[in-house]
Amino acid sequence: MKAAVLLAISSGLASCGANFTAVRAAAAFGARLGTQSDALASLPAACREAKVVTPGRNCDSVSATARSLHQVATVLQAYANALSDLANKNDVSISEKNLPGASDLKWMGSNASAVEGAVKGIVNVILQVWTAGYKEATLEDAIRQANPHVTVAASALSGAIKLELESLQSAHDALAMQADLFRADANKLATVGTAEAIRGQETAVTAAVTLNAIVADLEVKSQSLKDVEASAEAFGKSHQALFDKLGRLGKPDLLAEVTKIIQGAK
Amino acid sequence: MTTAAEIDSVVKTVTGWSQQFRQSANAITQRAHDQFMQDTIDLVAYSRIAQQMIGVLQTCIEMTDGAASMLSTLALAEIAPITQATQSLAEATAKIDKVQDIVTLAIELVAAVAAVGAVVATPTFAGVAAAGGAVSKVASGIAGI
Repeated sequence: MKAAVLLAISSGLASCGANFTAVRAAAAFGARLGTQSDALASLPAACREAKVVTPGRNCDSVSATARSLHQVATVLQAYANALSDLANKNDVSISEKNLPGASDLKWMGSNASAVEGAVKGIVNVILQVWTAGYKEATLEDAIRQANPHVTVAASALSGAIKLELESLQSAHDALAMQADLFRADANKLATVGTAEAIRGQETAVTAAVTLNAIVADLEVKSQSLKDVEASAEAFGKSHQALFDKLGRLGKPDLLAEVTKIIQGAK
Repeated sequence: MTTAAEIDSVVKTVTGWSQQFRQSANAITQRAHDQFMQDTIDLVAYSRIAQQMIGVLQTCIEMTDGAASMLSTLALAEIAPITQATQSLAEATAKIDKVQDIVTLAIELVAAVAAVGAVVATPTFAGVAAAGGAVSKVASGIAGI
């Protein structure tokens, strides 16, 4: 799924031919964290659901972890958006303005508008060079200073989610074991045939069905968390790729290189 | 300072331990289940083994929850410099807007000066009105910066 998203982001950016496409591609992963990170709220809910088989688990601590991870995801998203905003910023230009003094060129007749257009073109080139240089220098400064912190935060975020997914899997398996026990109990009671045994069998079957529903819910929650984990990992790795290519952020070939680095890292 | 590679290594190690324990617990429980189905052991024995294995899984959960909590603390410690970089980027984006405003204003200022110069050289009602409009536009632009 990560490869498909990466391909969509890369081809979308490459087709519009803008500068800093690699920065924008990396930032797109970080920006996705904003919408996905709500899934972190499912961690304490999943903990409480599985309490029936893991009564000793500290769901308050899980809740505190989820809140911290959400805060980190929000900060990474804001940083990614700021990278994207600057990379996307239009160049300063005078394209829509009439140059002062253009009326003085009337003596040139039909050549006047061509001269004004040429002057505008030169001024715009100068402004574009300034804007691109300023954007590149600022992006490079930010990426250089933030990189050690972004890579650690993104790695810790994706790692913590991986560990919580492992906790969910353990809870899932514990619930499945307990559900199997209830089913075995129900089967045993079915052979007895007394009224009390039948009531016991019904209770055991209901318990097994309830636990299986929780197991199914944990599987859904796991999938949403996997998306957050994938985005955090991709953002950290693509940011590192940008850092490794500092000095070439404005180069059009960098997107392909960054894409290759991210795919190779997976 | 901890690196991303060190974090990845810790995560791989802890999840590896948890997976090994979990797979062993699942295998032991499955074996007990099969033995129960074959009437080799009774329900009480099967239940005791399953509860012990659920206890193993509980320990796995405590281990992975603890490591996740430690990583969340580590990640939180990194957010201040990231927030600072975000602020610098936002200021740079705002500066480009400011420069665009100044470039636009500079063009209008030169136009206003030219209009006033033309009025001084050959005063007409239309010329005075145009120069007044240009000057007033520049003045409001300067006030806006």
